[in-house]
Amino acid sequence: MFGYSCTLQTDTEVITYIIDYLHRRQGLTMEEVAQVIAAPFWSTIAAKPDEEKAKATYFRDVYASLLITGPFSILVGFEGGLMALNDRLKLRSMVAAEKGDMFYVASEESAIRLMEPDPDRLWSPRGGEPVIVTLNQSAERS
Amino acid sequence: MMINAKELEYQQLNEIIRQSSEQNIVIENCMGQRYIGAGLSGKNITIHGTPGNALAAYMNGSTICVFGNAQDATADTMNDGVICIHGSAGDATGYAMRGGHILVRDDTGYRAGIHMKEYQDKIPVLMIGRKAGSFLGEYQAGGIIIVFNLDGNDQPPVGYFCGTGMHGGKIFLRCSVPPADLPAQVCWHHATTEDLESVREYVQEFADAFGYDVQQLLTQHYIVLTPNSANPYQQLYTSN
Amino acid sequence: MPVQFLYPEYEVMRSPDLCILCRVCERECANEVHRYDAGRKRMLADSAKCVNCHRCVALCPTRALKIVKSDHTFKENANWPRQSIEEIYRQAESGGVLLSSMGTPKDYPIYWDKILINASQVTNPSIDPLREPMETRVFLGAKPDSIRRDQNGKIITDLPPRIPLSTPIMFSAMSYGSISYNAHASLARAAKELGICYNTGEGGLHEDFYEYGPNTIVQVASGRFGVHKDYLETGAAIEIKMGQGAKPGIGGHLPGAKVFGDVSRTRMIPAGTDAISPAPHHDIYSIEDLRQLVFSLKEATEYKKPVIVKIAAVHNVAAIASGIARSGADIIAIDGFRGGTGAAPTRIRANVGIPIELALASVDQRLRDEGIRGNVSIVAGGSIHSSADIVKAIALGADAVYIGTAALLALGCHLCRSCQSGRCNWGIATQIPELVGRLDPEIGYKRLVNLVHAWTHEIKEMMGGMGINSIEALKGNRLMLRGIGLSETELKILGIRHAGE
Repeated sequence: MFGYSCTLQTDTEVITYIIDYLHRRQGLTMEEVAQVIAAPFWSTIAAKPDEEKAKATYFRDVYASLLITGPFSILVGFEGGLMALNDRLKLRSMVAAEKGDMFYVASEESAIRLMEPDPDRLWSPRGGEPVIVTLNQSAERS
Repeated sequence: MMINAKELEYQQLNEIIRQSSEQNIVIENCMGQRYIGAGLSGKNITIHGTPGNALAAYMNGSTICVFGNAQDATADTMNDGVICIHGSAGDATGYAMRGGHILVRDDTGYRAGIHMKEYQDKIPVLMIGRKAGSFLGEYQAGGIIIVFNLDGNDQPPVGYFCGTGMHGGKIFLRCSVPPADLPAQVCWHHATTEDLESVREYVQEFADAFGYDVQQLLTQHYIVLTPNSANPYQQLYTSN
Repeated sequence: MPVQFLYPEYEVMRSPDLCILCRVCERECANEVHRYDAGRKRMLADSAKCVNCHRCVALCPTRALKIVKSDHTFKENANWPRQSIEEIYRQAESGGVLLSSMGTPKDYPIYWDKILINASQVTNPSIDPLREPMETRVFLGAKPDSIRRDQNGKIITDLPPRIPLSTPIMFSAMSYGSISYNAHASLARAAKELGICYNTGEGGLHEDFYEYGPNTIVQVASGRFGVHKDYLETGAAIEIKMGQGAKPGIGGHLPGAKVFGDVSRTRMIPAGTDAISPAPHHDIYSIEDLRQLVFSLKEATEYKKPVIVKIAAVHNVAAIASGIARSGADIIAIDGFRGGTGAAPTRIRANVGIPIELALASVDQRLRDEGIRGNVSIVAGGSIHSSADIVKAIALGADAVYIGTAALLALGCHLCRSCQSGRCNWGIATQIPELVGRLDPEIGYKRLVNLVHAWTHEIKEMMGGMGINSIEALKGNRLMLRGIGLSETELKILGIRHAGE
């Protein structure tokens, strides 16, 4: 319905097109894209402050068919940055870490420790909560 | 014995552990090797590094001490033993555990204590020093979960959907208010002295393991969650 | 008296001439259909309570009883048959989800009955299985994709763990709790005598049956009931239950009322507590996660037990099976949508899943296409009615079959489909001691042995007719099959030609 035709027939391809549609064609920010495809449950929305509630309800109504309910753990690269996102139930694992100006993300902590034994910060992002990192200006230019 | 796990595959590592006649085993440089201690009885294993998923699955009476974080599915269907994690544990910690104790100094991921059971003299206990992720105690059928909320405030130290599907056991949360989204099938009360006395020996174990004062831990305010037997899960069925 | 919307579908008919007022029917019926009217000195029956299980009929010494379909009828309506109307009455009355037992009785095509088996004429000679060697032994497990030799050039004959079967038939998973102790005792003993396996289902293994370990498949389901080290080590193989044909995507729930005594001990949960199997395994959300569970079981049992992954036959079963074949599992069990159950929501049972014949053919073909068929054995289940179905299943690519309903029928089940009530008059799907006692394991096991022997003889007859003297040579041999009355699409999926082609 959005004018995409899938050739690989994989869920990754579908998610990619959904993000393309929301981000590039609809002009949503990456945070907003995450709020659409890994939208919070109605019960969670109900407990939010009014403004957030209105926005979340708007997204769930307008983009109802773009909610992705199954397990997923994705990394989305965009011009100048990266978004890591789990499904809203966090049915997949994800661990993120930082060391200086480096950012790491993996399914298992050991994968990160192999690259960086001593990260400054290491955490498990919550389901539906995007981790968005952008390149430093200097890195972008080089 | 000391095992340097660097670049050992999990099958090799676990085979060495199984074949070892020694009771005390220290693993250095552990890096994601899975199934350490699976089904194992009668050993004391100390792990430095990051053990992989399904640590201590079906474990049947060993002791594991982790200096580092544990990953996902720790102690799946554990029958007996003690796991002490000087760090955090990932998702589904204590899945379907029937016995034994898990002590996590810091946090756990999603679904900690899911489908924990108890049976006769076996009462599994999962203790979490700081906070638990969403779905703590999902489908809990027995056993005790305690979340100490150390360094936290008086808000519940859990994510969303705590106790979803809970139908047995108890959850102790150190906080002054219950989670806002408790399902109707779970009820809560402020912990009484008797409630806290009933878990004193476990709290003592936690305090000893991580250097806390048991009295101080026990004099805090706790909320106790239990299944609401007056309001059971009822899928009304009609014979057809 | 309140308005009664439902009229009994069956009526208990009693011949007054034959009835001798012995009251056996009254004693035998746990549903309390029969009662003696002392005033009128005659037996009465309340047909509304009758589940049509034939217990009274079978025990009536004078054959005075029969159960007949009621000719009571609604105004005829091809669009709204009686069942649809009555289901609405039931739900309007109760607000409940419709619950049914055993496989769906709906009139879906049975593909087995649209497949014909070949026989030899003139060329490859047919064989008389009574007098000539005829082999039905199979091994279930992964096959190595290359041979290995030691330094002397001798072939290393180590193999991954496997299940040896004297004949390609196993009793499918039925938990202790859903069926009785005596039913399990019959299955276990028969499996041992036959050199095959039965399956604990997800309710654990009663301590009395550990001796049948080499003939036992122990199941690990999402509820993990009764799962511990000894249990895993006792079985001939470990089955991870991902799904069940009768209720794909649905978990299980043994109500607390049925969890007492030995059922509670065997499941290792306190008496009176609900035994809930969540719909998914909460550590498996992908093939990678499945691999983790497969290998955690292998690690816990030191790689000595083959691991079976049981799935329901669903639309994309071939792709799922392909993933399972790469997960380290040794055997895939596929359960078709007609498979039995102790209780399942009617709508799920009747509308979810696909027939085993199509699922089996597409899985076997997919694994062959991908060059991974040797990674796993395939076990097919979900309404195998006869030895002919088994021959067809094997020719479609199965290594062996699971039989559940057929085994229960051998034990005396009359398919009244009322298992969920827990009042099985035949002592099978019940935990009520006096009802359980009606199933004598001594007799039950012999009837199971008889059935499997008879089917094995028939399989040999059919193999002989085809000129095949080892069942291994029949596996995946679809040229031995022809379709009849099937569409091109159906033939294509089954990978067989039409009769006459």
